[in-house]
Amino acid sequence: MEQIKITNHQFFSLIALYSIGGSIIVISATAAGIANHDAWLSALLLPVYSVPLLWLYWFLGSRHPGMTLIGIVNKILGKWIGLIPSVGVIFFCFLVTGHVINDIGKFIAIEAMPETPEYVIDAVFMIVIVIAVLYGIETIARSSELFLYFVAILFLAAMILVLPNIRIENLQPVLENGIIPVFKGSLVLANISLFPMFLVLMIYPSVFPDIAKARVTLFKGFLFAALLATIAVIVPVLVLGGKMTASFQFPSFYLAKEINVGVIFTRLEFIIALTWIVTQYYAGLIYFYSCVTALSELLGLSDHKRIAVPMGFIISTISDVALPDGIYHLTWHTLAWPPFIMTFAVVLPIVLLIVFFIKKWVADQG
Amino acid sequence: MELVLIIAIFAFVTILSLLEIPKMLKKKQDRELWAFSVLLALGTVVAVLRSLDVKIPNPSDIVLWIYSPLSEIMKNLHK
Repeated sequence: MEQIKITNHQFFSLIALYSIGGSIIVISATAAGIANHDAWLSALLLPVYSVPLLWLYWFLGSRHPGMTLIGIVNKILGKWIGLIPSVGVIFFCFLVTGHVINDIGKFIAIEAMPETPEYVIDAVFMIVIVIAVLYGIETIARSSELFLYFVAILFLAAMILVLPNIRIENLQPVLENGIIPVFKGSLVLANISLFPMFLVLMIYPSVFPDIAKARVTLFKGFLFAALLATIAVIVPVLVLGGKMTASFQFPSFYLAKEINVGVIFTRLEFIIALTWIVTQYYAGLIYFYSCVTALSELLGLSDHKRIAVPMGFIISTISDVALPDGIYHLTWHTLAWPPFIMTFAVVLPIVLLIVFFIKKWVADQG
Repeated sequence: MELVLIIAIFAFVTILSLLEIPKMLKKKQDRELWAFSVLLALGTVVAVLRSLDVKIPNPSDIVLWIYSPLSEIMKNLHK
């Protein structure tokens, strides 16, 4: 494989966009559904969780310079046992790319283009993702620098314009139902925006080899995303109240409909939709990139771009089978998604860390 | 309608193969060629079945099935 390198700031913006990825518009409904009006406390807990987990990913990467997650798994667990988690990771990325594409398709079909069949919108997004992967991770990282500020500024502008509608009573009484729902809410938020960060191991030691800088940049990127996520949780709760926020599918989107400054700034909801589509696109892009590079590394291919087009073809045909309707979507995301992602984002790295230290200890003894 | 879809799928597959396979043959990338062919064949089969309105199994169901023992805990988490 030819050596591709991305800069520190490109790594930061890629991490930030990926972590915001998709959550910005739905995150407050999920959190408010559990913690009600204390959802903002759940969001504030996220950076606390992130410290040990991101350190774990950084540590695994720092001991295996130049490798990807598949390489690390194979080196630590051996070729044959490592096959199970490797195939698992590839299947995870494959399925989640389909889900991400399908989310975009559903949203556009509901809110903007009800006449167009969903699979057409899915296919168009898949084509754009495949093109980005064919251009390579360098181009993806460079474009993310541009889009991060686009997303952040538009989103913050929409949130500031909605500020006249806030009612501080919506946050009171604080901790009405005790602290337990807050922890539950933060765990569910972590499922959406923190745990997918394990795929950073597909990027960081292999194309961003600067181990010393990576730790700080990783945290910075995540904190930037966590800040936006906190705003995305707190503002809808302040404006609509906990119960209302939980009942909407896309709260931030409906929130932007409330914006009414003079006669010029009205109906800004598609600003929010635009930021969401961009971040969702980057999330899908990272999943797809990981899927293709992981598969090509497992099969021992020298060029991952060769299998990008057929892979994208399969995903675009399967994407609207994978989540057929809203009820299935809800069931899947309640029952299957949390343990599914925790297996790869929490259990797998901890197992890798333990086996790594045992092997090191055995090597030191002998 | 089905016929149009199937013709479109085969046109796409043919053009893609004509563009990609000579490149891989020239560079002697045998493994790439195998992976490419298998994935493309799989994609074609799925796409043709879908355009014929055959119900294909949902890959998300596997995940639901694997983690079904944990579903009570997850229901509690989301309460």
